Amino acid sequence: MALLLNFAPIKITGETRCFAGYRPYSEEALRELRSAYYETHVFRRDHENDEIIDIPIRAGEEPLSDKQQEIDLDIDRYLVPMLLREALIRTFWGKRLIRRDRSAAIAVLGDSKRSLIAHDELPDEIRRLTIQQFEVRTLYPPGADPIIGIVCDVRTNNVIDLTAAELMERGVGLIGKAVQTSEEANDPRLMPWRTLVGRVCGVDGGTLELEEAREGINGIDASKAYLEARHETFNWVVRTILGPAAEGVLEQADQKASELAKGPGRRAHVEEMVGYLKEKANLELVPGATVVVGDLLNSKNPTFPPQRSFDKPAFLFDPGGTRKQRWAEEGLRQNGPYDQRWFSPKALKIAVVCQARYEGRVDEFIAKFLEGIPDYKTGRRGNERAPYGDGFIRRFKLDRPAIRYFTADGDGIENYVQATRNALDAANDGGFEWDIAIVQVEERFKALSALENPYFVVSSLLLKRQVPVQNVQIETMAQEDKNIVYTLNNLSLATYAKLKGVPWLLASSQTVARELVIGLGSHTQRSSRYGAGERYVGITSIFSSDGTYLLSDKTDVVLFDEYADALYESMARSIDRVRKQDNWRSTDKVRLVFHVFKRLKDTEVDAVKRTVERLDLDDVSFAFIHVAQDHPWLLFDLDQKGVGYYGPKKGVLAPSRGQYVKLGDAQALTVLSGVSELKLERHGMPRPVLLLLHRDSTFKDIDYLAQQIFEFAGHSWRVMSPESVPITIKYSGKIAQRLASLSQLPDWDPDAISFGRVGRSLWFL
Amino acid sequence: MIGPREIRQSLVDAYEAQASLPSHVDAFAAWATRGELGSMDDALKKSLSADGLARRPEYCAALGYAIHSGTKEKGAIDLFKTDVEQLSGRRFFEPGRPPAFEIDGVALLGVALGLRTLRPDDNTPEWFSSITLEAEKRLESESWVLSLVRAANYVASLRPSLDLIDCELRTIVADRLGMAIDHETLESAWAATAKLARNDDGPSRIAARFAVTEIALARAANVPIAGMSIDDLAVLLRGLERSMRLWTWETTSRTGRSIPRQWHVDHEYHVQNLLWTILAPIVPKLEDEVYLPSVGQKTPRADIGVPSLRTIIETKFIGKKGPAQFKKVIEEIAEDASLYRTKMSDYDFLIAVIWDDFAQTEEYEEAVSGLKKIPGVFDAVILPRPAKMEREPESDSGK
Repeated sequence: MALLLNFAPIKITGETRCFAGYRPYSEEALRELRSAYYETHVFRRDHENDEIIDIPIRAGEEPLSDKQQEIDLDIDRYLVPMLLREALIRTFWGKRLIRRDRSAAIAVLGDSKRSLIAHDELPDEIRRLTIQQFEVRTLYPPGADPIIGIVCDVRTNNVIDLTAAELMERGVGLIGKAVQTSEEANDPRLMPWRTLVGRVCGVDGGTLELEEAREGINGIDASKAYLEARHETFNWVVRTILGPAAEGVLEQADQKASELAKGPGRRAHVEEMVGYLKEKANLELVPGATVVVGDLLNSKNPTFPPQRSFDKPAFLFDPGGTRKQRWAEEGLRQNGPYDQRWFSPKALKIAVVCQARYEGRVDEFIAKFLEGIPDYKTGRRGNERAPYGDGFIRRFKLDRPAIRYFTADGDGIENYVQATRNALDAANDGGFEWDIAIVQVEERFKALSALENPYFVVSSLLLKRQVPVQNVQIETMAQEDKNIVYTLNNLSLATYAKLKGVPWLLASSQTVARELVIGLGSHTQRSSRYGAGERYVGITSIFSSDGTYLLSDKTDVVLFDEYADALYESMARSIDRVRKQDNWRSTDKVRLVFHVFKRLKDTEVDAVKRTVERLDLDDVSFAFIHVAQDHPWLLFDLDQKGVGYYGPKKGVLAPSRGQYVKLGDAQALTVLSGVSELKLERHGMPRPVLLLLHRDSTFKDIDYLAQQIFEFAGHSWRVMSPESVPITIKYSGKIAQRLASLSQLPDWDPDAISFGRVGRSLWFL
Repeated sequence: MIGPREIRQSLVDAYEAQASLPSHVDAFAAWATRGELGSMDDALKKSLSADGLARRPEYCAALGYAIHSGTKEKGAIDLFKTDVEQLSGRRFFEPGRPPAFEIDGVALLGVALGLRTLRPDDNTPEWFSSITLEAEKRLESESWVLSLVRAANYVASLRPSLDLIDCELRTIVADRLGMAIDHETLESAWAATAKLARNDDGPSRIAARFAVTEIALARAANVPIAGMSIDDLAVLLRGLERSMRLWTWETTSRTGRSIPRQWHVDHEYHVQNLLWTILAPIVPKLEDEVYLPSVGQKTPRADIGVPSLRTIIETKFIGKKGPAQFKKVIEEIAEDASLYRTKMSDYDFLIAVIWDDFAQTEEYEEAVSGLKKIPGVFDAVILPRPAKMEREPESDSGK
């Protein structure tokens, strides 16, 4: 297999020695220096000596500080990334609009004349442009010098440069839309940047009245406000301006964007970017030190990082460890669920809440869900299989359930609440409890706020009474069998998990006792996206290394300042609970692996360690891994011709699931969802996740940790296919998402989850 | 009709088709079948070497089976006790946590056997009884796992009898605990096994059925020869290794006046005598030193003949080390088989019984498989010199 990384290594030629100046650090001084001398000098904070280093980048300039010292970029290579970034900005300055993405990426907007969306009546200020990202990164090959290079990527970006006032003049209504202000960047070479201020709730002359706004802001001058160019807002603006012509224009733009997102288009564009850097950019770090940009790194090149392919995880379907399958769905079909010998109750009591007008369709759907669709088969002749031929009851070895329908007279909240109350009353009167409630909803409910959404209101009612809820959209129920079978596969899995069932566990070869894998997450509790003064809730989900979801815990609702401490306390509480369950002695060797969706600061890692130290465990090793989805790395499989029998092939040049590339001892790429998992051809190229091991980790085997993350991504009880992130992070995120919505309801009782038995199930899936 | 030999072989095939079994399941198989299936050595090795983070409850169960099987492996007992202490402080059946060890019948039976062997007179520890009784309550009725849990409870003296335990498992537990197996139980166990009814109980059930086959056939070997088939004869001879367990080899006096005796096996005539001793009472027309029809100038002479089964038993003695000895024996048997089965002969089959004085067990699989490919060779049994027959220093070079 031939792989290609979007990484072009560089070499430095010419005079690599120069003088640098050194002065004591202060934040203000650094800011002022950067602002005054951005054209002539580059500045860096040296944390170790608490100094500011200044390096002249224009011929004839001297260091600004009195204390000076000669540096050699061949030796002092840590200075190269910063100088290279500055060289990139100088290259594009004056030719294109530039901005800084993430912390260090240089993003260059495509030529305005080459907008992906075009129509004579569409103003030039409304564009969809390519955005080229250049990020300086370093590879750390084993036993060799680090390799510095430029990671190149391309995306598309919607731009609305008309002010709110100008949009209103063109008939675009702004009510309900998010607006931003534009502010000059600190570095005048960079584009102004936008800040969200609130949502428009009214227009008073030239002033936009705002709700859910930043603290202290009630309104904004329309001539100084810009619409947030989210996909749906952008499309809506285009539709308003172009009318019926918009659909064709938008479709064409989407098609162009899709070509760029797919393997061949993306590779061609990235190679074009590298070609530009190689031949035209003339990058210079300091006067006389020229950068030679190499070709994108190919796995045929001996400097390509170590790579391998992980085997798909094996799943276990009995406690004795004798029934294993790598294909979860088939494993369930062959073996039944892990807990089939003791799962109880076998005869479920199911309440179905639906709108009266849809009762017939819902009834039909429930029959398919329970009994399966044996007549719908896929596969080549002679090798056909029915993807959902067995149905929920047979697949999970259950008995025939008792089902009752409770119909809502309409689609309003009050109708749903009444139907739900009827269901709860029926259980109360009958002296039993519902095992689960299936609630029919509509797709349009998704756009409603939690307060207006019948699903959340009903969920709140049911969860408070310890009944887990499974919602299904009426639009899903109406799907043809060929589509619905896959939905039913997922639905049956998630439903069983919500019933506290155990479909399977991980049968990892590297499963070890006394290792906990912990996902840390959080959600903000607030009524708007823009407001300050939010409260935070921290989520900890704990799994054993065989993927058993042990428990999750959450902090109280706290202010940001108190959030970290509260999260660590919650984490310590959870670990302590598992420790007692498993009877760990203080001398036992224990490993704690933390999966985090954001980069952990040193202080956070330190706080986690101190928190765990208090648990009186003498031999604990830690690993802190940031599972990053937002990063510039791409991996092309040059031998991948695409998959699919009919129509255009999906995932040409896309890597396969399980592909692993070790960029260094503390960073690696892993493909959690690959070419075979692509749903549609236009979905482009799957991106690997970037795993970053924090330097304070005491367990540092990134190969082991990456494989574990890969297995945890394939071990979801929410969907049959692998998730795009490990379930440690996915589940924490789902809990956060659900709690964020439920907490907006005035009657919600968080104790229902914290202390009720439903909280011990995977109610949030 | 499927005979016991086919049933036995199909069970072996089914067991061997299982990929990398957990050590406690392998140990159960070795325990139940007295080493015919599974590998107690491998299970022990894994259980003894897993330490630190990798130590899981299943290893304690594997040690339990090994301890009950009389392992002399150093450290097994100490490690079992350490594991038991760790387990005793754990909480089982915690809400929201999938049960594992606490609902795994094979694991619970292993620990019960270990506890019983080490502390036969003590009451069952409360932590153990609480989980096995709870497991019994939770498991659905009539399942194989429930039977295993009930068996664990019986072994741990928490059940008064083997009633309500699957008849196949009841047979095995009785056999391994040295209890009498009543005819009715064995008959129903054998009937269940012989049906080879499909089930999804996994490798422990396969091993159990194999064990039942062995027990039933061993019992069948006691019936008059009129009922014995060549299958039965082969099973009987394969059981010889087990018979050697009580072979006389004393290092101290067993009674006040006696002197320690050691029954040496020095050459193939001793092996023939051993076979004669075993077979003569149940095979009335057993013949020794059988002269067979001449083949040209050659007049073959076989070791033991069983004319009623048209079978020759040919004995060999390996008195030197090395694969070359096995090669030599294979060549000799090939020659014997071709000479014995001429058109004029009254014999169609040959069973080879080979005494290996150096217990080179690593060669057996290949040698037996090779021998069985020779036309006319019905089966081959290799008897390793038992470990307890310690060799005197001067006899190290072999015979």
